[in-house]
Amino acid sequence: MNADSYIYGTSFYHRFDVRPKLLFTLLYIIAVFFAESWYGIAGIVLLPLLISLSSVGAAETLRAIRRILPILILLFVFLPLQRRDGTPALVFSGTVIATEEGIYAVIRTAARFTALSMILMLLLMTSRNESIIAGLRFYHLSYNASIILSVMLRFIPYLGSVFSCIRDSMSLRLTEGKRGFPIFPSVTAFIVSAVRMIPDTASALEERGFGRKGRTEYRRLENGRWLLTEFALSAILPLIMLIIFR
Amino acid sequence: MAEAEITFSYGEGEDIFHSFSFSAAEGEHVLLLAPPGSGKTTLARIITGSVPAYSGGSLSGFVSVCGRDILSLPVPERMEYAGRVSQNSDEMMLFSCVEEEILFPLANLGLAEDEIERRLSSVLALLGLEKYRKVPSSELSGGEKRRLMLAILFAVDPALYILDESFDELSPSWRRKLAGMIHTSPRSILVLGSHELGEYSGVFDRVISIEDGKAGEYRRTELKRLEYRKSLESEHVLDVSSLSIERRHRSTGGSGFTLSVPSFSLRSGECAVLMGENGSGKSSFSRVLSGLLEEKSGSVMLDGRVLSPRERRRSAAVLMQNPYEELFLPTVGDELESTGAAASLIEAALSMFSLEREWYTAEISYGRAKLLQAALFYLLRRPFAVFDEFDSSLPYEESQAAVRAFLESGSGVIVITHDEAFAASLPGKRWEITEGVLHEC
Repeated sequence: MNADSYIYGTSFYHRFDVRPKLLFTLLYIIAVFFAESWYGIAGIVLLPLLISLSSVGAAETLRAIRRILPILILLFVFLPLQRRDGTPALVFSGTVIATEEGIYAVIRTAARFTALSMILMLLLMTSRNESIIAGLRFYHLSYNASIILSVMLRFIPYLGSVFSCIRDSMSLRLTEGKRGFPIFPSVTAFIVSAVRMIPDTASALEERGFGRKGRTEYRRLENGRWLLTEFALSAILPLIMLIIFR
Repeated sequence: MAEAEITFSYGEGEDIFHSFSFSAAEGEHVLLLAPPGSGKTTLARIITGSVPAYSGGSLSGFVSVCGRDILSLPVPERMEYAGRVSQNSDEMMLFSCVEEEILFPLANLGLAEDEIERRLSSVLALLGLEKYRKVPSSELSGGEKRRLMLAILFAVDPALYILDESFDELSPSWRRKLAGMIHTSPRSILVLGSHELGEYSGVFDRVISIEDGKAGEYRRTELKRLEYRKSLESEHVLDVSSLSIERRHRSTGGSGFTLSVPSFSLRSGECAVLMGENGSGKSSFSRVLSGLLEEKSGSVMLDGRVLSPRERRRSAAVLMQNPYEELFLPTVGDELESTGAAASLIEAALSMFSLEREWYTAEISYGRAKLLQAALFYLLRRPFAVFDEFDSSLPYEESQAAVRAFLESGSGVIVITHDEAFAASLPGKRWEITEGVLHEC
């Protein structure tokens, strides 16, 4: 799984200890599911967006958004069609295409998906993999579970990089007079690649000794002077969001 | 020391190996040369365990290393007995930086912390990777990734080393260094390759091959010079002027490389050979020519007209170093049909590149994946094509045949290679990247 995620930086979020950062990420994910009001929906997207802009900059933030864009487009195309009851908002030849309730539902789902993806991508963009594993070990997760979780966390950015490869590959095949890139072959290719990645990663892990007993623990996290403050901030901020944005 | 006799088939298919036997004494260095699809990579995977564990298939026989039948061991327990450098480096990358990739198996071995640090420092120095310590594998060039895979193997130091096409993608200087490392190693080493390299001379105790699933004798073939068969046409001219390319390492904030191309020119039907150290920017140059990467400054022109990145994609094909970066569809037939070529042309390409329509792309060998890549771009008939280390994992004659097919169809071809013998066998000008500048030799 050859996906690049960590971006060098010295921002506030880069310097934030990985242990409170993991706590913040987890609590934020929970808070995201309680956002129901329009303020809440906007708020859950804006916060990770602002952290991203301040820590990795506009270009990388845009790059992260572009990675989830295909899924957002699919959500906006297909989700309103599934919610047909309610006040008609879009009618074509007497057929209700979308209702107000359907549009609200898709915006809420898209916002939650964006917020979740952004907060997880932020974790990966500002923390090295080994720190994340050490952070998970701090919460008494077994080493094997920590490795699996860190691999899973990188699955979305990995899929994003696979999609870029497919897009490039397909764009090199376009014949004269055609624009864009073919959607159905690309989606097929995407699914094939995603499925193929699972045994490849599993065998790479096992061939390098994953699962052996008697492993050496060699990475220890140091306690910085702001650790307690960072823990407090990580717990309070999502709690405030939960109260305000419900 | 290492001894094997195996019979293996994927699913209900034909036997890949039928009582294939192999042995290597302690400290013996064996070279196995065989064409793509003969089962070299499958053999390596059987020994280290990912086949049949993750592929399915029927395996019988034994693989004994240091007197232990390792086929009875779980995959993670085999790492002290046998380790391999994969032909496809990308499929083995797991972590966020070079250092972590090496530390992971060392910690799994349960070594003391100071021994882990000692081995890490030693292999980083041995393979010239110190400055990439915190760089992720995705930011390394193909040759640098190969060196990382070698570093992992040398750090773990199993009883049997298996190097699957490991010389390919390394620059000539690193090939010579690797040959030296093998020559002086006290370990049993099995190197798998598709063609004989000059660097192999004097390194191996024995050369073997695979014939119909059994161990066979290697028969040497002579590398002939490829000549233009028809006079050069000037239908199109690709010109590059004052080009500057810069890549930065996102993970460290440091500069990856800068490449300057003051002037470069290629005509239809003409061949040009491009060489340079690992990480010097050869692949990035090919990506700029095909519009997949943006240059810092300068221009790429076709027949005197400056091309936009979109126009470049239809003017210059790039056969990427790792074929799986371009092959995604389920079958060989699906891939070729995606070009929109007529059925008769697809049939001709299947025959020309020795491919079967029904083969699953994910299941074909790395070498055959390269031939599929060539067939794909051959059908697209772009005026120019870049073969990025296409000769790795393929016999010389197959690499030459692909280059010839493109030249005779009227395409101008840039061949990026690290193989001095292959480069010398091709017609046309030679270009080289030295100290960040591409110049004609």
